[in-house]
Amino acid sequence: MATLIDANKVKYLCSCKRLKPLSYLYYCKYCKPFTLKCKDCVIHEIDQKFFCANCFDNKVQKEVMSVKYKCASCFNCPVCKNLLLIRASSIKPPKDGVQSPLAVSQSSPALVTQTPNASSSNPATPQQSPQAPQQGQKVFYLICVFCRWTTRDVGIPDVTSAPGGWKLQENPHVKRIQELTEGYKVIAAREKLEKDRKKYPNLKRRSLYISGSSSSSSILHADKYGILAPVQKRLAATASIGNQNLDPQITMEQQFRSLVKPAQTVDSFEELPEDFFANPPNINSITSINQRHANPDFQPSKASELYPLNKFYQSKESKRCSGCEHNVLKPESNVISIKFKLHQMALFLVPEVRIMTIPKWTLNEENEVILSITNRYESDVTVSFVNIDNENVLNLSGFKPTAKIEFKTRDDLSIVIDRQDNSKVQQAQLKQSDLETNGFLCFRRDNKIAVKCTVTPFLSNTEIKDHVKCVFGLKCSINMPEISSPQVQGSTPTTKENFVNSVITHYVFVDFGPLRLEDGLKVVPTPRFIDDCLKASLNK
Amino acid sequence: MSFLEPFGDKPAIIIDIGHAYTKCGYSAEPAPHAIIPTQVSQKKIFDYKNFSNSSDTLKEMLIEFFYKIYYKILNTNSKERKVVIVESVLTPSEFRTILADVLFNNFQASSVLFMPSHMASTYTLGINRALVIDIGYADCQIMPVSDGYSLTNLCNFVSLGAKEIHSHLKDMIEEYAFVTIGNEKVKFSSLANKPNLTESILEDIKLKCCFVTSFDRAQRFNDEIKLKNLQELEFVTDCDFNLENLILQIPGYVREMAFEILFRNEIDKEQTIPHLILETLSKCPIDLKKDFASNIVLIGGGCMLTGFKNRLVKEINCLLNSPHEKYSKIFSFNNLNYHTPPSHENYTAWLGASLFGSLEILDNYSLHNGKYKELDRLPDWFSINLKSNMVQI
Repeated sequence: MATLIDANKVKYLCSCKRLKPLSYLYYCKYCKPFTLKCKDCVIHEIDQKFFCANCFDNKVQKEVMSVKYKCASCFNCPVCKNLLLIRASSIKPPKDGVQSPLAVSQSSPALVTQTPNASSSNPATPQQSPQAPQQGQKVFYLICVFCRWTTRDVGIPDVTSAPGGWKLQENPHVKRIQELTEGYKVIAAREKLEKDRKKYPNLKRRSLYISGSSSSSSILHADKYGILAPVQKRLAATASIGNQNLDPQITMEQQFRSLVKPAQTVDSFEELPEDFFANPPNINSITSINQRHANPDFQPSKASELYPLNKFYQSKESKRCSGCEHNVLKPESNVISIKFKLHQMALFLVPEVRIMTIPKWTLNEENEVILSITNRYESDVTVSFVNIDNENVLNLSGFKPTAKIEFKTRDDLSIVIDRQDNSKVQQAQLKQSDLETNGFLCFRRDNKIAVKCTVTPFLSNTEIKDHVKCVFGLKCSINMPEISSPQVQGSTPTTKENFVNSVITHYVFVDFGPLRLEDGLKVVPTPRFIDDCLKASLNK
Repeated sequence: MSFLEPFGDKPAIIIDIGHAYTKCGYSAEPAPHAIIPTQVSQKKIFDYKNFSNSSDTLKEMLIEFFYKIYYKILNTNSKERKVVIVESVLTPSEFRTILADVLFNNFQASSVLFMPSHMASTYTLGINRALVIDIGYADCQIMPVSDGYSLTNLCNFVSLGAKEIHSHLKDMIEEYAFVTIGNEKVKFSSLANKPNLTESILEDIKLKCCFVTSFDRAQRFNDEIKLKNLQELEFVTDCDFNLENLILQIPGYVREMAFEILFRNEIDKEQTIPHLILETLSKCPIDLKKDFASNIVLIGGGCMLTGFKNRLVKEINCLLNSPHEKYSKIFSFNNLNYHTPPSHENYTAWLGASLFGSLEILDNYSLHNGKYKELDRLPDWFSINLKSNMVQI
């Protein structure tokens, strides 16, 4: 079950000499012969369309950047990072003009204790109550259904309009940082100008700072040199800074000082409060490191300072072949759809090998192992097995085989694996040709076969904890529709599709797990359905 | 001022790879987008030396790690982006070379600027001279920075960081902590199959139970500890911590004294953070000494421990004023001045790089992809052909 339980048990050799499980591999049909590409050797591309995974609100990159990739209406729990749900409750209007403790519907007793605090600070309630004196006011708060955290726990006032009722938290230092940025920008622009002046000493100094039409000798003259409008705008802005502050008497330092208030220093820091030592600690009120890092701007250290985390906008990702830049994976642009426009995952081309049985290993002896091979390609695939002794392949990527795998059969034996056919249910049954393999092929149903092979671990006793690893070649021959370049296709649109038979040998690296099966690992016996299949075939 | 923005809608990517946590985000933002553990599938990247073929493993790990940062966290294409990497000057060359290889060749970064973390943090304050103390995971580094240069000849470091604290805390828990089973109190170390105290559990205990005790209390305990039994001393109350299915009782002694290794060293008295700071300061050029003493910048996650900064200041003042120590003769001042950067300590260096990354002159200081391929290696900090000094204010 290589892909279901542990994807790293069976790996394939990618064209970049890395070993990857089949689920990480793609294929490029333009690069002959069907080179495999793993996720580390394709070019990733982010779609320019960003969306919130919860509300599917989509935006383009510029808009997303202005809101710092945060969705304004969807939140995650600051405690457990699951989605927060919006819950509505009604509060009774206050009597005698005095804010009374408010009854809250559908909230647990623990929450009720929090409500006076929460609702008294709700600014909307007193204003709207005169209009609807008898009706309950609807308010909203956020709740996590996993850990029961609510915004009322930390005293965040309920809002009267969800979504969008909860404001983004603003970094407290934003003003100072802005001041610094602007100060630095001015001196950086000045430094740039001075550098440019050094670079082109023959240029008239004036000409660099001319901001537009007044001088025809300006190197920035837009018509003559066709400088684009945004560039000109920027240069003009730079020039204006330069003009303001180009008094050589003023050093950069003085200029910076005039723009930015000097940073204040302190000579002592706050003491721990005296009751900190006397009172027993409440460790549940202190947040964990992950909860702090989830909100880098604030990093709340106390549970009472937690604030709902805005969900981040995400984007879909397409992948291109690094060799020919053709797409190998392209999602549909509709954000709600999870389908692909184009998907060339290797899973749909290369037969998938899984380990079916694991025996109790005996060293330096042949152990019988059953592997299953599944074909997910759209037509039949003919496979044959190749024993590999080639040193170059064996020593790839730090994969050191510790066992020899052998397929006890004729060298030229090739097996046809049917294509997947969902229309009819087939019984497990061997074909006539399969019976001639003397039990080598022991199971067949739909697009799946199982073969018996022998594995001989050649470890010395000292390495007994090592894994049994081996490598073999899987030679697949498939019929592919011939891909012609788009130009040729355009000229002869009516030609019938040609099928080309192509043969590719995939190198399959199998890790059977540790030699000594301990720690809950058990021998996996031959499944019953294999015996049944064999019996049924013999009876026939 | 938005039209001054040099890259328009493509701000540079700022990544500060710490030994424990990596801070990543876009330039000109006041805080990182995310703070993530510097790990790839539960393995720490900086432990790459433990693997058999370390440089290959490191490269694969970095590819995986940057893929995560670019495409899963920052949601951006790597190809067209400028990158600013914040790193300590003491980062091993091997690591830097492989990092540059991955960024330029695998991720096609248009330019990369390697920025020393100590210098970067001075940009958050707008000062040009500072003594930067970085208390990180692996070690504590003290570096004077002057006019855009890190004075590496005066750099001092000691392996007193979170890593050391964790291993010390583990020893203390195994020695002093108790577990309640039924009605019996059993020593934690005597348990037959005790749960493994992993780094993340220790970090949690450190954060939730322990604190840096006040200077006066520490002085009193240090005097009394020689005379009395541990039981007779009045530590803070014990604290219960849920560890898997057990309740681990952490005694007040552990809670208060876990961080004492930062301030007391029985074997070598000088190997503590306060000593090291003053030691570095005393070696500084005489005309810069006063500037450094009045511009101390504390950065790194270690400074965020409860009560740490207060204690550090008191320890330093005590050393400066005590007639038994040599420092009172060296320095004329009896306290130092500390800056409070507009950020949390753990991302101060990141913020500095974020400010610098938003400037137009970033290009002049960065190493461009073409140049890197021409050189075929990464220039070192100390090589002359790289103009690594930054804007001077």
